[in-house]
This record gives sequence, C-alpha cells and structure tokens, in this order.
Amino acid sequence: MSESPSRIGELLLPARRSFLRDAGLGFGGLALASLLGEESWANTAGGAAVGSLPHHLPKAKRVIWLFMTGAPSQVDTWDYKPELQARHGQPLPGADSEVGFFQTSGTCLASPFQWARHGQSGTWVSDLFPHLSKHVDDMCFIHSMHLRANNHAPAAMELMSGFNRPGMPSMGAWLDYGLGSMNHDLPSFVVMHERKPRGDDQIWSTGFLPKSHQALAIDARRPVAIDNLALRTGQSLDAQRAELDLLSTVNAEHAALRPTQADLAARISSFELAYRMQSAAPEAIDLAQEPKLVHELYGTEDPACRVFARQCLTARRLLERGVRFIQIFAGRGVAGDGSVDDVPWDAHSNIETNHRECGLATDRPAAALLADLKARGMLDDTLVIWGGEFGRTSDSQGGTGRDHNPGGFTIWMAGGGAKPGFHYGATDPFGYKAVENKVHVNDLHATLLHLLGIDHQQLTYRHNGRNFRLTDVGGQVIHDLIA
Amino acid sequence: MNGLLRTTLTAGIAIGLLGTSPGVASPTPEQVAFFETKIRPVLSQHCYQCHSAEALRAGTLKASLLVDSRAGMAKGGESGAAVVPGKKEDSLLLAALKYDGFEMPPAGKLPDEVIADFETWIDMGAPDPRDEPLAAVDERTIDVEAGRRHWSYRRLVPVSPPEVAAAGWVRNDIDRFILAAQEKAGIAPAPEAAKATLVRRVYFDLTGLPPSPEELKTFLDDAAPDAYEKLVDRLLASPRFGERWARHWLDTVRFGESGGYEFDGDRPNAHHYRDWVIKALNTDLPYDEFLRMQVAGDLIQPGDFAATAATGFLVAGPYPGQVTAKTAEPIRYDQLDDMVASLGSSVLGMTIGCARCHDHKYDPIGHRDYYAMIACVGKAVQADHAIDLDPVVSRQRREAWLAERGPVAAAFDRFLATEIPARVGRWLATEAPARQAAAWLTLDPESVKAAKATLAADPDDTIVASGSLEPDDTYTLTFRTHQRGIKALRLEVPAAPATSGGGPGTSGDGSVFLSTAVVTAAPLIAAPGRAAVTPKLKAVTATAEAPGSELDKAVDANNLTGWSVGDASGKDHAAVFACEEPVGFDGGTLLTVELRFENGHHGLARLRLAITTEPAEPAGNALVAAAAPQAAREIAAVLDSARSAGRDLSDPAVAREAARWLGRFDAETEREVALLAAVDAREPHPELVTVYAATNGPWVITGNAQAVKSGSQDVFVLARGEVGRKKGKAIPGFVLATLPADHAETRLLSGSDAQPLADSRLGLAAFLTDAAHGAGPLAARVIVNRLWHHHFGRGIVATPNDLGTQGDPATHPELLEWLANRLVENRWSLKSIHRLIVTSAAYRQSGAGSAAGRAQDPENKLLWHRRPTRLEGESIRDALLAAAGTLDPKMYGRTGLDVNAPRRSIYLTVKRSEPIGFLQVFDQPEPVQPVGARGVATVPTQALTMMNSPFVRAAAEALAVRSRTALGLEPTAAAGVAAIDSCFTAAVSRQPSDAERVRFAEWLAAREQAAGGDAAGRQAALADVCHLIFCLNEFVYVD
Repeated sequence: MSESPSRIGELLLPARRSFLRDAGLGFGGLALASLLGEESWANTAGGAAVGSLPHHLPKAKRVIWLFMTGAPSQVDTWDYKPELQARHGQPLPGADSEVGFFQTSGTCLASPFQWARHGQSGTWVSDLFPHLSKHVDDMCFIHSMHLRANNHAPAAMELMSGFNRPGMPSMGAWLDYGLGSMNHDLPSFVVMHERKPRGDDQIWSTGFLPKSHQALAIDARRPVAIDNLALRTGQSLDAQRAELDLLSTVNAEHAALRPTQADLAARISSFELAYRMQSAAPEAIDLAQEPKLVHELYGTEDPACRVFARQCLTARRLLERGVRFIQIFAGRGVAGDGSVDDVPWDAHSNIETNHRECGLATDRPAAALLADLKARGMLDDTLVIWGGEFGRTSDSQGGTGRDHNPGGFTIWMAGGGAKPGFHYGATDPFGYKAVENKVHVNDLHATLLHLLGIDHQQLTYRHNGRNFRLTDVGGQVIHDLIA
Repeated sequence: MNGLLRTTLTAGIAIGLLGTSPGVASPTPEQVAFFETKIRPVLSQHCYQCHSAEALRAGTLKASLLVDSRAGMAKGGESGAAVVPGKKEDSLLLAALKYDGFEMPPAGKLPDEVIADFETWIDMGAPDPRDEPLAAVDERTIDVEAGRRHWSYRRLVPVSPPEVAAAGWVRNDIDRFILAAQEKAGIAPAPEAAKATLVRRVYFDLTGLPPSPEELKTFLDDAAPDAYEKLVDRLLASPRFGERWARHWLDTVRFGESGGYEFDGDRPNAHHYRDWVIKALNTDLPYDEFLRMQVAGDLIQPGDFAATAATGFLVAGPYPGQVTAKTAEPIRYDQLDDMVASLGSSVLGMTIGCARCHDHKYDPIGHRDYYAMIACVGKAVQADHAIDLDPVVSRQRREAWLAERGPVAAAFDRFLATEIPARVGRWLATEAPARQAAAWLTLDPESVKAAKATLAADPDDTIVASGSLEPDDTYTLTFRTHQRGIKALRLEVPAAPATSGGGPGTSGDGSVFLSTAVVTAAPLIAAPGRAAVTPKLKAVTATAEAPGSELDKAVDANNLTGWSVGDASGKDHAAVFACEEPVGFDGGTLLTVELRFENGHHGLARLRLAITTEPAEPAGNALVAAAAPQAAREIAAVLDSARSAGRDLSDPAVAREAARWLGRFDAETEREVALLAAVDAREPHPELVTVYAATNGPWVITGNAQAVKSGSQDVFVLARGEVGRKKGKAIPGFVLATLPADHAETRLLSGSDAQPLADSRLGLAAFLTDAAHGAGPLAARVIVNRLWHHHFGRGIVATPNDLGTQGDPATHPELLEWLANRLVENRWSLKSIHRLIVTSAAYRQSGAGSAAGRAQDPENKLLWHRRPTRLEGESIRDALLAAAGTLDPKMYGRTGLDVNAPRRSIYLTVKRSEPIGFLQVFDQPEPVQPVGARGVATVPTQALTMMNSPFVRAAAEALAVRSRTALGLEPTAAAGVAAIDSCFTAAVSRQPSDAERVRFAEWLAAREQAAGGDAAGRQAALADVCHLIFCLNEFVYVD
C-alpha cells in the first residue's frame, strides 16, 4: 500500500530542480498552492479562480515602488499650478473643510519652490528634484490620483491593498500568489524601510492569502537583513550539509510511509532551498560587489541620501536576481538632525524645510535607479512607481504647512510599459482636487496588473464565502497610460 | 442564480399612486422640446435598460432606481434623488454621468456635450413632461422564507445514526455516519492506530503539547481496555486543554492586544479576555453561556470581573490610533461593523459584513438585518474598567476593619469632647502668642508626589526628593490651611550637600530651572460660591536670577523658559511669588502647588514652601524673614472660622480640625491623633484589576486630543454603507432568515414578561443562543463543525466561518446535525463533544489506507484514514520548550513579545504591528479578521528558523543537558545510544528504530570527535543531535 522509498528518491534527485522551483519561497502559483497543501485538507479557503496566468503577454516583469512615506505635496513636486502661485494668501476657491485630516486655513499657500520645464515633454518640475527632472521623458504622470482614507496608515493600506483597513492582501502578495516566483533562492516580494512607516507590517500584509506569499522586510537599521539566515555559532556549511543529508534520509523514510501527505516532500525540499538561500541571499544584498562608480551614481556615501541610495542599489541587485516586487518606504526626518520619522514627507508645519530634506534624501538615488535600470536594459520590463499615500492641501495649515489631501495627488511610473513623457488627468487650477480623468487606486491597480499580464477581474481568492480581488469591486484598466 | 435569491419585485408591478408629481409647475413648450430632443433620447438609449418599469418587470432593475418618470427621478434609488430640479450638485444622475462616484452608463462615459445638456436641463428646473405614476419598488432582494429553509438556518432536526454493515468497527454513533458514507463509496476504514501513535495525536490535539516521557510510559504500560478513554478524561481535565483550545477560539475572534493602524497603541489590559476564554473552556462553561457572556457579560453580571472580561470579544478588533472630528463617525461605524461582522463569522458562520452596503448577494441576509444587528451593539464602546476581583472578600475585609476602628474612633471622639477644649484653651493662653509673631508660615504637606522622583516630607516640612531623579519631572504638592487672604508664597530651595551636584537641583551640577509654577486653591468644604481658583502668580523676588531666566519666566505661559539661579548652585536659594488676588476659603482651603521642570531640566533636591497673609512687597527681607510652623496660626484660624459659623470646640468637627494642628505642640494630642491615623492607614482597599472590555456608553473620541467628538448612541441605516447617506434610525433586530418567524425578533428583544430586557445587547445574546426561537441551531452547527475541524484538520463543512450558501457543502451533513443536537442536549457542553469525537473509531484510525480509498477519495473527505497534520506555530514552539524541559507551566497574565520567554505561546503578547517572527513564519494568522481555518504553507524561512534560530538551538541545548543529567553522565563522558533514545522520546514520543539509532549514533560520534572531548564539546555534540531531531518532519507532523 505504501509507496516505495525509491519513489521519494526520484522526487529528490532527478526531478529535484523543478520540484524545488515550485516548493519555494513565495513561489507561488497555483501549482504550488496545491502541492504545498496550502489548503492541505482541500479548499477550505483557497479555491483559486485565476484562469491561466499570465492572462496576456505582460509588458512588465517586475515592479519597484518608491513609496514616499508621509505623502509629498503634489503642488510642490510635479503638479505646477500658476494660479496657486499667483493667489498666495487669498482664499482658496472651493476650500472644503472635509478635505484634510486636521483643520486648514482655506487660504492659498503658494509653493515655495522654483519651477522649471524639463525634457522634450516640457514637464514642469520643482527644484526639489534636480536629478529626477532629467528623466521626465521616461515618466508617465498620473495627476488625478485619489483615494478614500485621509490618514497615513489606512491610506497606505488602501494604496497597497485597495482597502483602507488592515487584513487585506497587499499588491506584492497578490502578485506572488498569481505569478509565482522568478527565482530559486530568494523571496519574491521584498519590502525595505528604515523606521517602519505608520501602519507597519499591515501595509505589506498577506492578508488572507497563504503566508507563503509573505514579504521579506529588510530593516535598514538592522545589521542582519534577514532573520535566521546566518548559521548558528560554531556551525559550518559543511557540517550543516552533512546534517541535512542525514535529515533528508530520515525524513524521506518517514515520508515514504505516509504517501498521502504531499507536504512532507515539500518540507524536505524547503530545507534544501533554505540551505542555498544562506549563500544566495547574502550575495544578493552585498553591495561591496558593486563598483565605485555605481556607488557614486546612487550616492551611497552621501550622508543626505545614503540610506535610500543603499536601498535602491540593493533593490536593483534583487530585481536582477528575479525578485518580482520591491517596495521601499523612503524619506528622511524633518528635524535635520538625522532622526527618521515614520512619516517623513508629512509636512504639516513647514513644507519648505521638510520637502527640501526629503527631496535631498530621495532625488539622487531614485534618478540613479532609473538611469541604472535603463543602462542595463531592465527599464523596459521593470515598472518603477513613485508616490506617496495621498497628496497635500493647496491651502495652508498653520501658516506654512499642508494637511493631508486624498482628493488629488500625483504618482508617476516609468518603464515597464508605461507611456513615457506622458501626463494623464488633472487637478483643478489650484491642484486641490482631481477633476479630469480621475484615477482611483482600484484603477491604478487594474492598470498595473494589466501591465504585468493579469486581468484584475480574474485574479481572485476565495475567503469567507466571497471571491476577493485586489481591485475589490472596482477598477478599470486605463489604456491611455500604456505605451 | 442561487435558489435563495429571488428578486421579490412582484409588488413592483402594481401601480402605486405615490404622491403628486414633483418638479416644475408646468414646463413651457420650449422646455418640453429641450427635454424631448436632448434628454429623453439619452435616457431611453442608455438608462432604461436597467432603470425603468420595464426593467422592473423583467427583473433587471438596478439600484431600485427608475428614470422613466419624473417621480422616479425625484425619488431616486438606493443612494438618494437622481435629479433635484435646479440643483446640479445634489443631482446624483449628473454625478454619475460625470463618472464622479458612480459611473453611468457603465459602457462608457457620454460625450461632454451631452452631459452639458443635462446640466442645462437641471438648471432650468428639470422640466419633465413624463407624468407616469411611479411603480412601487420593493427594495428587498432576498427571500427570507426561502432563506429559513437553508440547511444551516433551520431548526435542529433529530437525526438517527444510520445502520452499517461492519458494525464491529463502530465505537460510538459518530462512526455510523462515517462508516455508512464509506460503505456507500466502497471504501473500508483504516485500522486503529498503534497506542504510541494515538497518544501523541491526542496529547497534541487536546493540550497542544507532546506527552512527557513519563506520561507516555504511563499510558503505554496501562493494559486496561479503557486506558485510552481514561487518558482522554485526564487530558480534558488538564489546564493545558483550555490553553490549547482557547488559541483556536482566539483565531476566530481576531484577538489582539493592540489597536493596529497608526501607532498600534498597546492594550495592556486586553489579555484578561484571553485568560477568561482559557478558564471558560477548562471549566466547560456551557457554550451558550460562553457566547452570552462575550456579547453581554457586563449587562448580565454588572461589576463582575469575569463577566466584564468576557466582553473583550466585542472590542478585540483593530481601532485607529488617530481620530479627528472628521473621521470619528466613519471609524465608529467601522468599529460596529467589526463587532457584528466578527460575530457573524465566528458565532454564526455567516458573512454578514457583506450586507453593510446592500442586501447580501448570495445569502438571505438583508441590508436591514445588518443594521438591525449593528443597532443591537450600538451602545457598546471599549473601555478600561477597574474591577474588584473579589467583592465578597473586599466586603469582609472592610467589615473587619470597621470593627477594629470602632473602639479607636470612639476613644478619639471622647478625647475630642473631654480634652481638646481645655488643651486648646491652655495652648492659646500660654504658647500661642510667642509662636504667632512670624509673618510667614511654613506649610506642612498633606501629600507630596512627583511624576518620576520619590518625594517625602521631613519633620521641619522640607520636602526631599529621592529615587528617579530624572529630567522632565513635575512635583505636585498639597497643603491644608484655614488662613484667609493668602497674599504670597515663598519657595525655599536649600543647598543639598548630600547630592552629587550639591543642589538645589537634582542634576549633576545642582542647577535650578523651574519651568512653571502653578498654585490652585480649592475649598475644603464645598458651598455655593466657593469654586477652586488658580490665582495668577507674580514674580516678586529671588535670591538669584540668571539673565534671560528671571523668576517671571516661571509664571509665564511659555514652558520653554523658566527661573534659573545661573551658576549659583550649591547655595541656599529662595523665591517669592505674589498672588494677584488673595486666596483662602471660609472653612479651609486645599492648596495644590505644581512645580514643573521641563525641556530636559531636573527637579529640586529639597524644597519648602511658606505662605503669608501680609503683603510680600516691598520685597525687602521677604526671602529671609523668619517663618513659624503653619500649625501655630491654624488653630486660631479654625476657631475664627467656626465662630463665624456659630460653632466652637464642642462641635466634634471643629475639635477634630483643632486637634490636628494642636498635635504639633501637644504630645498627648499628637498620640491620640496618631492612634486613629494608624488605624485609618490600614483601611483596606479592594484589589482592583483593570480590564479592557466593552461597556455601554457614549462613544467619545479622545484619540490624540487634536479633536474631540462624542456621538449619540443612535445608529443609522446607511445607504451603501456611507455615513453621509443616513436613511433613518436603525432599529435593533437580527438576521430574520435565522429566526423561525419574523415575530421571534420582538420576542427575543423584549425577553419574558417576568424578565423584560433592558438592552438590545441582551436580546442579541438571547438571539445567538436560543435554539427554539433564535439562531441557536446555527450557532450549535458552527461550533461543532469548528471542533471537528480542529480534530480532523478539516471541518465537516470545510469553510468553518461560512455555513451559508457560498460555503463548502458538508461532507457528512447528517453527522453535523447529529452533533449539533448532542451539543444542545448535553447542555451545550463542549467537552462532551470533544469526548465523543476523540473516542470515536474514526478519530483513532491509523495512517494506513486502502487502494480503494485513494482511488475513490484522494482528498480523504470520507475520512478513510488519518493523514499527518502539521502542528500550528504555537504548538511547535511549545513542543520545543516541553522537550527541552524549560516550559514554564504558569498560567495567565501578560508576557510580552520575547519569543524566548519560556511560557506557552498563547501567553505571548499579540501586537498587531509586531507579529512574533517564529509564529508568523508558521502561519499564525493576522489578528484582524476572524480566521476559522489556518493556512499551512511550507516555506524555506521555516527551515531557516528550525536550523538557525537561537530559540531552537537553546531548546536543543537544554534537551541535551537534560538527557545527560538524567542518564547521570560525567561531563566529559561520551553520550551513547541511551542519550539518543531519551532525546528521541522527549521530542517525538518514541524510541528510534534500529536503523535510525545506528545512523544517529554514527552522527553523534562524528560530532563528538569534531567537537573535542571536553565537557562543552560533549554537550554541543548531543545538542546537535537534538537539533537534528527537532528538524525532523516527524517533530512538526503528527500522525
């Protein structure tokens, strides 16, 4: 009645590679879900209905989301509004007390920055971005983003999961679930942060999706990037190899007597994969392997931007090695003392000093990443996204600050099939509310999934009696944004 | 379309005469022409398909909206009026055309010029000649009567266990259901598992822990035919049972100990709910009572600790840490949604949250039902309650104390009556005059406390700081006085040679920096016209003032500035403040002096306060003028005050107050006062424990003080779930389809005539648990299915949170019904169901399986054998601690986030933003929504954890030590196969096979050789073996 041990041997030897590929980390996909017994006792929650993925030919293979934590102001970055500049100190037409999280003045606050046009596209950019402004012809701007939540944590959740409450899967987890992994020894979904953004791990949650789609979070403050990756003290790789050989033998015998539990074989493989990860992951994040010129390009030694620079450079290495979705929470403290805020761009009090510092902390590395990806030919199928969780008010808060504004803000994309040098949608003449071609988060997600070869209506997961999607019950692919 | 879903629009065809047509009086011919050419064609072409009487008849009407008549436009749909003549901004039709909020028509936005026509038309008053009366639309889209026939919503139906051919296999009636299904499919069950297999299975299943080697031996050595049944009874009686099964329940109720969202504020008193669940399961609290307490314990047994703790269920969900006036209301509705949706999933296996915006799409749960349920909990808010753990003992203690105090108080009263008048008289005549001369009175502190430092008063009234002498402290000092017209206050800050900085400040250099001084005067005896005052203080003079930090900086509004003596540390200093208005109440005053030391400044090492009723100016010698003890003039003041009220020392209250001050000068009086004070100091106070739970109250938003908003307890029905679209007050009620008839709702809400219900939450508790009139049958089916799920790894319904139409079909529907009946008959005893299940032959099967089983039922839905089940993260961690022998059996309380704490995992704190890595990697669900069935993923990070984490290594080392010690090995002696055997037994509850023993012995020998022959090397080598055993599949998969 039982399967012979040689059957297990087969599983572990000739077929090992393909098996390992499936049994992995994040390695999603449906094959895996059934193989690993996600719902090992059948479809208690899963019951995936994703069709055959990808649903169509993808333009983008991977995504890097530069999350400007705390929410940059659209009217001080990429959404130039001469009318606002002209009417500084005058009442803001249409000022709405429901916008904003606290109380605002109703009085126009002009952008304190210098604006100029850049590139063939003649894109207006404030002087916060001397480096990024050189890449405007690669960028595809959405000036009419809007969402519902007007505080950081729920808005960040909404931007990543489509829902402004915790417990729903974020986009990275959805992608891993839908597309699986492109590599053999690294996770598929990576998050990088310095101080955790407000909302913490809830922002990159797997929600109700299996935990195999979990993000690996790399904390820039910690010397050890990945937990339990380092061998225990006194252990050598050789000794561990010998240990694993014995372990596999005993486990294989055990599994052979229990042929109806497929998870046992998957677990044996997972140890082999873990063993290899111990070498592969440190190599992937070892920046010492990058030439000096590259370090200079990103600014890894520049105190003003080195944390984000190191994150961007690490990200590029991970993207090269098949990580599919990376999210970096970026920004820098407002106090100028090197402290890191959990919402660095959150300029409630002084837009000028705050945004200056956050601009310095992010501009050069982000521009370097674009240039580097382009030089390596990776920008074509890598989608870069830049934006915060919402925008800021056109009227002032406390004289020189701006409050939260989920009603209209700018996000730009580059590469990965996004239309270059293109502007879509618009806010009103004061940059206050999105009025033309409004783009909701659901629409953005639908479009991003489309670029990745996924029909957002078909990527579903059954949970508590309902098929859930990243786009909930909304979402329209905005074809105008696609090159 | 589902059978339950029938669009009940039959009434809609009937033509209703719903009022006269609104709109303009009579459109002009030009207006009619505009309508006919620009508006009607568009409506007809793009809208009528879904929004007309025709659509209504065809059953394709959407959103209850009819735009084929003027009345229909005015009435609008679910979201409100479609067209409001003259008001573009209120006309949802226009918003929809503009794709603002709604997006209509769905096929694509209409051209701008068409939309402009609609704007023009609405501006002109929406002239509309279509006078057709409005068809009445029943907005309900569910059929409650059909819903009541859904299998899980019905009353309980008696079920007889089926007859089976192989009756010899049957151990109890459960097996008849299992076997009958197998026989029907031509499958035979697996033989019973070996005792050694069973014992490990049932230990983990019932207690979440492996059997200890001793427990293992006891069971294996017990040859009695009922050895297994006895074991089951032992395990069900073990406190470990509640710890195991409470964790399952906590999954289903999204239990967490922090708020989530921004800041993820801790709820340090939330664990009492978890402890309550453990106790309730251990004592086999009947499940119906278990539910009632969680929904309304605070109302059922007010003031009872356990009953209050139980309601932690309602408020266990996430809640934002930052709330402003603008977000308060939606957040409140989200909180109510969390309560009711969680209740639906966990107790009723129902996705009621889906009915927040509209009728449930699949199940017979109305929008109305959702708001009725919300209204039931509409008064419930979260709160920290300080509750007496044992009021009976507290009352007894208090009575004992009162008995002790009685004679002492009586003696004191006698002393007041017989001695005090004479003693006061004598003192006034002889000693008083000399003592009353000084202008200043040093204040005798009533209470002294600081935010950080420890303060105490010396006999000469000097207040001395000790303990945490940290910066940013605040001293709060209180004094009683009967002086009237207090005009100034003197702060004396002497040098403090004993401190490191020499004083007066507590900082290393003795510097002084008083950011703020505030004085409050409150009347001792409340009376009309006597209200506490905070006199404005004026800086008069100080012994030294640093430039920019003069004394007036301590009484300005700026907390960044303050009074400093500059570099004149190490000397005595003083400062005088004047009160702009003199203070002091008739009947006595309580003075509170608050001294703040902010922005990194330290407090004062020593200080004394004095007051004067004479003008402090000119400053002259105010800083150094002599002071008398306060008591010297208080007696006279007390008597003056009494006299003006027509009283004297014959009044006990006056005598008591005088005695209080006379004690300072009269030893006998001091002794008498002290005797009573000593008894009073022993006054027992109940042991209050603070518990985070639900209570009824107005919801008050005090988030971060940015904005404060409180709301009424009314709950409204919200169109599309939006707070801006209130449709009237929600009336408490329940999901009608789960009731035997509509009228049961009233009955459940009102209680019996003898015991009418004061609160709809009590009605909700009754609804959930009443098997005859409420949703009790459903609750019973849901919980027995959960028990089955955890015992077999899969429920009879594989979707434990959803027994609705979208849930999985039951594999053994009659068995589920039979178990639900047993539960209710057994007075809702969960342990009785556990016992039935784990003593069944179905449960005791081995992993061996038949070819027929594999062919017919590869998913094992018919349970023809037992498959190895992976332990949950909590059990893996607990098993490591148990094998290591380091598990702390302490129950209850708060543990924190340290994975290395040697306590069972259920006691680790559940912080929403900081999941514990070890548990998270093994699929611990997020505590955000109810989870009925955990995922079981296999990922390499688990392998990394097992191979490399310090926690696992520590367990391996502890097991190695334990094993060597038990075998009595010398520290440098090589460990042999006996050590391997004992480690195996501790970890996987069995001895290694011969082949395994040989392999592990070879491995151990190799490790010992590599590690060297010293004690540490021997130890490490055996730890390596233990570590390897922990990595075995067998350690985490239980047969």
